[in-house]
Amino acid sequence: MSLLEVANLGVSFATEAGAVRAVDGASFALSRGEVLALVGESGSGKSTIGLTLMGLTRRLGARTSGAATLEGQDLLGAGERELRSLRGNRMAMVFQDPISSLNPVQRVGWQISEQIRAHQPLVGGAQALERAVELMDRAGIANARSRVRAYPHELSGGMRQRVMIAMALSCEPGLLIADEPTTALDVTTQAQILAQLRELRERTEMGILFITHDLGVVADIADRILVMRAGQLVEQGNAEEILHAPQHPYTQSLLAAYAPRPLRAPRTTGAPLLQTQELSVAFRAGRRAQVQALDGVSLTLQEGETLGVVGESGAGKSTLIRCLVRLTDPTSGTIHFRGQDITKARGRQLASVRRELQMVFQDSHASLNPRRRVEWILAGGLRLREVPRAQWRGRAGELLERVGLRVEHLDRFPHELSGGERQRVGIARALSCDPRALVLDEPVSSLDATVRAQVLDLLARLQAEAGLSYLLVSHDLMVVRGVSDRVAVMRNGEVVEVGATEELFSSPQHEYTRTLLASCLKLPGQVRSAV
Amino acid sequence: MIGFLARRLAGMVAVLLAISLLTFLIFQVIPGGDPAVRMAGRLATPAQVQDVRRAWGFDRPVYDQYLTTMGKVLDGTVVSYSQQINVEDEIVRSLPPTISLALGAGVIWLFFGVLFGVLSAITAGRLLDRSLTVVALVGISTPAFFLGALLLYYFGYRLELLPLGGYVPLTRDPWGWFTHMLMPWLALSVAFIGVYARVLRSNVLDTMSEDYVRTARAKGLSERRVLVRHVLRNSLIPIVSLWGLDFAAVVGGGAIVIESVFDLHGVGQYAAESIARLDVPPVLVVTLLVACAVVVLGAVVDILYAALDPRIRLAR
Amino acid sequence: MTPPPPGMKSPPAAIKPPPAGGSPWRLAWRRLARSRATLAFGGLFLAVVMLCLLAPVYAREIAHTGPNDNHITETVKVGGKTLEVVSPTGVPIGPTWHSRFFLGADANGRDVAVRLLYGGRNSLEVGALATLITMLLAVLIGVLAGYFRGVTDGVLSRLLDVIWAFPPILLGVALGVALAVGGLDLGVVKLHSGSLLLPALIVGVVFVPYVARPLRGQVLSLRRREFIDAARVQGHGHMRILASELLPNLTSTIVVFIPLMLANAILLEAGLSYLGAGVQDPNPSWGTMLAEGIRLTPGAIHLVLVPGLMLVAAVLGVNVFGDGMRDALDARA
Repeated sequence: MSLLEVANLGVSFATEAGAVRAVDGASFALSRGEVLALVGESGSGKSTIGLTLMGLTRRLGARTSGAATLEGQDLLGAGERELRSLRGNRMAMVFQDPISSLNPVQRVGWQISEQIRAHQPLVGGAQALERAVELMDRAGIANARSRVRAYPHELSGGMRQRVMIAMALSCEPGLLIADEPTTALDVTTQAQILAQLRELRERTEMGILFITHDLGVVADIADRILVMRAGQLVEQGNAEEILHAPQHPYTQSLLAAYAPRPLRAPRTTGAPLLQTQELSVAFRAGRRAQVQALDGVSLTLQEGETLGVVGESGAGKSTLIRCLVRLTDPTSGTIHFRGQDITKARGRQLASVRRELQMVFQDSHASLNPRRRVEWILAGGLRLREVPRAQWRGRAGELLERVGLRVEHLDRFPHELSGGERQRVGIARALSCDPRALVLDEPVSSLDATVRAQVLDLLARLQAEAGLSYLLVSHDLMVVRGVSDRVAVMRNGEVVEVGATEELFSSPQHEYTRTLLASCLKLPGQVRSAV
Repeated sequence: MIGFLARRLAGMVAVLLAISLLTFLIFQVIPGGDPAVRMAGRLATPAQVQDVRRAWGFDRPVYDQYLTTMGKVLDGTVVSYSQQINVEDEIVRSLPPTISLALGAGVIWLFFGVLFGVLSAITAGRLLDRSLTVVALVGISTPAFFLGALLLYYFGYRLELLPLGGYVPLTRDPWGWFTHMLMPWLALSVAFIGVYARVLRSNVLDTMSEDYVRTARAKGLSERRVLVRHVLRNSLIPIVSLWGLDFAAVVGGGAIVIESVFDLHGVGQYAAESIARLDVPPVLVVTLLVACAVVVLGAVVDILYAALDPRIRLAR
Repeated sequence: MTPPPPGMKSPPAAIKPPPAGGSPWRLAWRRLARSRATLAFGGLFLAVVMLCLLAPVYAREIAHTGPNDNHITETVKVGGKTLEVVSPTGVPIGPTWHSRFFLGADANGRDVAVRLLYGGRNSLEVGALATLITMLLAVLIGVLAGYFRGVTDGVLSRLLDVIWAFPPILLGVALGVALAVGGLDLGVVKLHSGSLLLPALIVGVVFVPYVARPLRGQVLSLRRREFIDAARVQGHGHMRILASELLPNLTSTIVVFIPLMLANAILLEAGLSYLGAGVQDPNPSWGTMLAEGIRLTPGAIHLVLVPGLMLVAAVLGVNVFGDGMRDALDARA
């Protein structure tokens, strides 16, 4: 008998706009010792399946149909008490965002032991805590004994997730549902957590339902794959089969989106456009501590090229960008733009620099004023270029068309646009000043894979058309690889290596670069086309 | 930690100084007319008025008066204009009714406010929630003195169940103390119960939709445990600081009106009567006292908040 | 770090269809229009306001008397019987439910119903003015403190602390009494003691910290959002960012505060007038009427009930409407 059997599962929610069907007739089975990956983009219903199996959608007013059984026991029709005895005990769930998924005012050890004592009431407090220490240790947390008394915000993202895993495993469940467990983590941490899950599967014969949008992760860990789209299961099968020979057109397009972009052909670039020399930024954190966000960073962006800056969180990428666009003042070092020293530029000089150097932000949701329509958002840049008011609407419309949107979008609010559309508006806004160079901060990170490729194509086209130079910052190596002429690798505020994309990726010099590349999850196709 | 406390203390002192200055200006400087004339009485001769002026220092420059008055306040030697009694002694005598009123009401509104708020949140959208919301809204909309007067009329005069005002010290007659305080407590608490019930309802509903509550359920904990250990524990934290500030506000403000209606002769009523007599020193001292209490309680509340919420502790 | 795909607080992202029909205001308006209780109570408040505005009409056409006209020695015919307006022992007549002395008389023989309506005008006017003052000052202070931080914030926040620390009633009473006698004479601004602007000013200033602090908090978190950075990168100046980028995001908070502050202002004015520090004689106000009524207890309970119930009705109307408005703008449970 399979561990988990789901037959024709349907889940719908009642909303202001009527009933919405989140999951529409999904059927699959999960065996012991197997990792089943549930893949889909945002809105596909994959998380809903996980939550519904745990019975956590009942409170949200979900209506379910079909059947789901865990080792023969009905999950959908079970009463609250039955379900409670199953939750955390025979089936457990790990969530995506550990900072908000752990109670912020309770110590982590206490939260783990709480679960143990809920299902094994005969276990005493001290004993449960001991067990918590053991579990944390096995989950790979160093100094588990002292860490057990920590509060969630005192731990790093990776450690918090390990705590969540330790907690989920505390009663040795047969089924583990992991909902995007590594999405919010760094690449290197992600690799470690995945390795741990693999080891777990081998040791305990646990069945894992792994929910994710990231095909790279899927390639790394899954035995079988389920592909979901708009609530429906469009394809399922062995990982090998699906990754190498997808049948359904949607799966094919998904894989295509992950296909590595071809490297850029070597091109001639012009004079140095933007240069930093020994740029350093130090922050006061707390009373005496100083954080060195940037430490002697020297980079050059040449005219017409795309320089990719890669690094994990804390590497200093955001600080670098904020310095370049003069949102922050550097503590020492210089920045030159077209030969002029703009390090302490103010007033008129700064205004003229601003016109030439613009920025595209990461989170399109937060970078567009939610209370303003698109037309108004674009008009800001036009006004600065002293375009007469009467021409604003026309010019704004032109900008939209350049980025692949339609004139109708002028009257929309940001919340009426999709993620990809919002990002295009962000790009249009940056272009409204008619700049020479763009600084892009994680421009595609919050987008779905299929949309990602489109936006990157757009950026390439715009660069060719207008002769723009790009400084693109990202944590995602594959993105950077596909768009950059040269790449700089950052870590802890320093640049550890710079070089032409092809060379850097095929023969990295610095050890950190090598680690980074190794942690990077590759789809089968990618391994082959490493160059 | 020391640095933080020192800075906080400095801030508090600055605020208190500003308050004392402002109070002094309001009472000594702004009122139209000559305090000496007021004090000397209607039938005084100009010479007598001049004597009063010199005796009380009204002929000295403003900052001089300020410093002298402040000196007297800190010394405990402030004397009322019209009654020649030591103000601070009088205040001490008037404290018991005010403290009884504030503390009693504070306990009542905290208890019922939290109770109604939690009940409302748990049964959100259903009949109990709606009824409690109506009760809360009516409570918030009813001025305390109106309610007090009604209670006094119906329970005091008509039904003769409870005394008609006045204060009986706890030490002398506990039952009497209780019956005399019951209506004032109720009148004062009703509005606060309404406010707290709604604040708590809102907090609890917010907390219930947090991710970590979902995790708690995913762990298989009983609903009761989820509610008490996770939801309530976190929702009540802001209530603590709210209560501290409201308590201080009541001692300084809300108490006056109720004390007047029920003739409790507390600090508030003393201040109100002094104001009516245009008798400045008592009002000055009472205002300073209350402002002090608010500022101090504010700091205490902040510290308590930090003790309860570990995230705040480290942000220092 | 990869930001996570849309999270799962309420029904999963897939479930929420993108809100149709544009402007957040239109959405809120639609939600508001669907809540009958909110509209009903809003209507109640409007009815009270209308009645009070029509005070002169009522006084002239129906009661045939003004708010300050004494009828202490007169008699009135009610249902065939002739009653004295104020009895020899000083007890005024209760509600006659007739056109004259519809709700009875007070100790000075004045028509309670007429005073109620005129008093309402004063109470509501003070409440409205005070709310206006509060909101203007609070927005100014909150926004400047939150946006510019540093020294500006330090000074403004300390100012708020000082206002906050003053016991409101005590402050209000002190100022009220002090200014009642001589009025306010700051050279530039002159207000005579009977002016309604005085209690309005007092009540208005007292409530400034209530609104300014939350606004400041919201501005502090808004200014860290990327669209503010984007505006700065485009080179827009501070004033333009404040007015055009920040303010539109604050309007729903401001709108929610207005009925809340109005309710509080009306209540505080009643309290101050009760203590003799608000609206001054002979101007009627619900607070002063309550003071008279309470003084006469247990004699003429209608003098307490009438202004009190009217107060409750008005404030309840504002509160329920304000609640409904907040729900419409917020859209949670």
